[in-house]
Amino acid sequence: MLKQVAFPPEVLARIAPDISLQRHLSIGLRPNLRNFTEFKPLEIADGTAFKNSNPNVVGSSVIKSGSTTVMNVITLGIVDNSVQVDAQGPYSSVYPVIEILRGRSGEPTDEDMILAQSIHETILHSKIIPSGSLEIKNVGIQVTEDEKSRIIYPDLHPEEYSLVRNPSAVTHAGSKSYSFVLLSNIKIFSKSVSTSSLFDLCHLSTINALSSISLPRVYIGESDAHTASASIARSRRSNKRSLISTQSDSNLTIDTSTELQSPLKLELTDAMDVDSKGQFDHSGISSNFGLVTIPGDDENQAKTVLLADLEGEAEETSIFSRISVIANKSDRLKRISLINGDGGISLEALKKSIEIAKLRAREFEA
Amino acid sequence: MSQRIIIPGDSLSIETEGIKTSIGPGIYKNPKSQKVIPSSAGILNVKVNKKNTNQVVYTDSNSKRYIPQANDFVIGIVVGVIGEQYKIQLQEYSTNVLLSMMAFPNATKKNRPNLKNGQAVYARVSQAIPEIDIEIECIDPVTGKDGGFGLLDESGYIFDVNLNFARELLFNPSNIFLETLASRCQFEIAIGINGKIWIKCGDGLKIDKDETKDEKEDDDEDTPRKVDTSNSYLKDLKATLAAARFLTRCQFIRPEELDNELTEAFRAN
Amino acid sequence: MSHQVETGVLSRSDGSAQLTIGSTKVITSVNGPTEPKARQELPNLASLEIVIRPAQGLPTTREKLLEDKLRSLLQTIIIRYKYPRQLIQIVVQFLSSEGKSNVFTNNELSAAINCAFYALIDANIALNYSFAAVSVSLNEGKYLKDPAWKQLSESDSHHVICFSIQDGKAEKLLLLESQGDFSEEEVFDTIAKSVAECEKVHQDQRKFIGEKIDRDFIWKA
Repeated sequence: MLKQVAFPPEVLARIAPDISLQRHLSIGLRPNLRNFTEFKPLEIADGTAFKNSNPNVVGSSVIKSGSTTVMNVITLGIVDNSVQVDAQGPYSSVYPVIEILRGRSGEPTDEDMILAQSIHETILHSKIIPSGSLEIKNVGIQVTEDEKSRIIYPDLHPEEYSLVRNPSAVTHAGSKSYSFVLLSNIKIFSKSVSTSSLFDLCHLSTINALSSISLPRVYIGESDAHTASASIARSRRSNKRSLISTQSDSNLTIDTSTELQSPLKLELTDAMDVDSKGQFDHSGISSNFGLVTIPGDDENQAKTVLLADLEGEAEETSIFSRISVIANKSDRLKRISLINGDGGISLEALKKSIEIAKLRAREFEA
Repeated sequence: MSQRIIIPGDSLSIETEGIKTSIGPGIYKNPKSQKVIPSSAGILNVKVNKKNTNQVVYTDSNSKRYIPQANDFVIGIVVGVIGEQYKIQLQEYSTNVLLSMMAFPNATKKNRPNLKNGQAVYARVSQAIPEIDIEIECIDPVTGKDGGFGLLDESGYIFDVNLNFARELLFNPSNIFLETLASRCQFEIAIGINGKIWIKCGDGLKIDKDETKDEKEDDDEDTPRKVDTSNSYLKDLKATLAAARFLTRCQFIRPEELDNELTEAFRAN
Repeated sequence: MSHQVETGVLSRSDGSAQLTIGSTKVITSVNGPTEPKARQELPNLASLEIVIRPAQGLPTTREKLLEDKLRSLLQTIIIRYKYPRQLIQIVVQFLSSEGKSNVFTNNELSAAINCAFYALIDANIALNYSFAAVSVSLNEGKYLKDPAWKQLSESDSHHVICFSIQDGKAEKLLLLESQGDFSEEEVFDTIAKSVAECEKVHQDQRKFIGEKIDRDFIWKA
């Protein structure tokens, strides 16, 4: 005869997370003590500290959800439009590098890469960054007058510019067009939520950081304005970054003066609604759901419950049916990712998830 | 009886109430829902006994990867030794199975069989529990005698066929392939349900008694290096290879083309 | 656009299939159950190794994301409890995919799913049910199946939908990947329209499998 063994709940949760989860749910509780469709509260901290202390950072965001902290820092790169490999569509995206800190170093894990790629594709297909807004216009020229160097921009100082603009000197740089690329670096500390929820947080933080971006002006270093081939080089010299050296001694340089910066034009607000100001109005809020079937005493009593915002090991490892929805304030959807693991997702469940996601988007206050 | 092809997701549409049902390959019973479903695409076979109290359900389908089942007859290659057991490979990249040194007729601690890496054995799967290591034996459990199992002669030729064809050759006593082949030459054959066939016509690939050790590694090459010029050896070698070629081809042709194929395979002889 | 398919194209793998849908061409091999590496081994079910390789260049995070989607779909379709401590390896190699751009993965995902089905059947791996996928784009509400790259780039939203097939009917929605800008009604409308499309794909599947089984048992009198 086999003897029945009883485990304390915390041991059971480790060795049989699926059974532990079902026992919790059958008495109407989740292991994390939230209600079934309750989202984990999150705080959006003032992330501008990064931006103000480091001129290389153009946008930043810090989000906390429980112990999980997501820090997102956006920096700039410059590409020559003529050599861009990807066929450029009307909209651009960010290029995120996501790192979930686990106390190890080395190459990124599959989870890091999958998250980063999902964010990249989602931002791209959400159509919120028009490629045109990243184009670099009005490239200035640095000139030295009376031992003082200043930068002349065609739109700000048209008269001086026309004087300086010696055709032979500038044509090359002037005729080539450049664009910014947005490099986003996301670090996740003390991950306690599920991967699905991490996507939500990363999405939120990316939108949040994007909306704080102000793009600097760019000028051609004085030493010479003749230009030729472009290659990326980064000088470590304090604030002055040479992103593209156009020739051995001529550089495209980012103007660090904050007064001349202009905010990145995003299609974040609702075009139909003039009063719409919220940064998430158009881009939407990402919400995730999981479905679990709780077996009853007989087959008829088995029921499927919808859980929002998955968290913790039990929910992460034993929920295979998941829905992730990005909805915005005006009831438009930007992304649905549904995977029906154990067949628990009916169309009604999808409908309900979308309903909740829309409600959450409407009530969301940054 | 017309063939019924079934694929995963189809209903079996068989009565399971009040009749004892045994499920075979390609049918799966979900332990949670207790539902019986077809898990692979193939020809459905339902066999009910006369009294209508028992039925057997299985699907017949082709595959290349062998999954060991108890009482299967298999051909394996010795690839190593762990303690008192040989490691036997049934197929490339499959998990090796174990063959105890005691699982031979008359084997004792002192009188052990002496198998070397690369040698082939014909054996029976004695235990196939997927969660633990699978064991095979070279002994007939009823009589304690060899029962046809044991080391396969190195003058035979081993080749691969699809699993459905191997089953046909072994399980269908009225299959026409071996009979057709027998009309052409004499042979010894061992059929492994794992898709391996060992065959030998006459003296097989043995070319020269002193040279067998060198030759056995090259036994699938048609150009023997040290050919004994005596005709009978060469004839047996050619016949063995031709027989293997014939059986391999049999998998892809209609029964009515068999005779042609036989002539074709033995043409070089 | 009809599917062109061929199974058993790779003689040395346990199961394989090559599928062409429009300008997307993919070859998939399935090997298993085989011996896993020690770190892959699971005590009570089979582990899955999924490798996706692009038509051009080396695999990037883009392929990683596709692998993840394919894995989460297949891990519950394959009856993994039948093969404890074993490894099933699925390699998807794209031979050609449309467009110079990496932007859309729709057609590739749907082709990979459909091709994996044939390869799994060819390898005789136990499945809970059959499945079929379609790639769809919506342009001003207009439903378009298997959109070409140009149509995708002009579309408002694009979707990949995969249904389980039971008794020839699309039964459960297994996978939905939607991106772009769309309304709830559009999504449900797309799902509803795709039921018939998936069933159409499945009719091809059934016909093909019937022919394949006839070929496999050609020697039977």
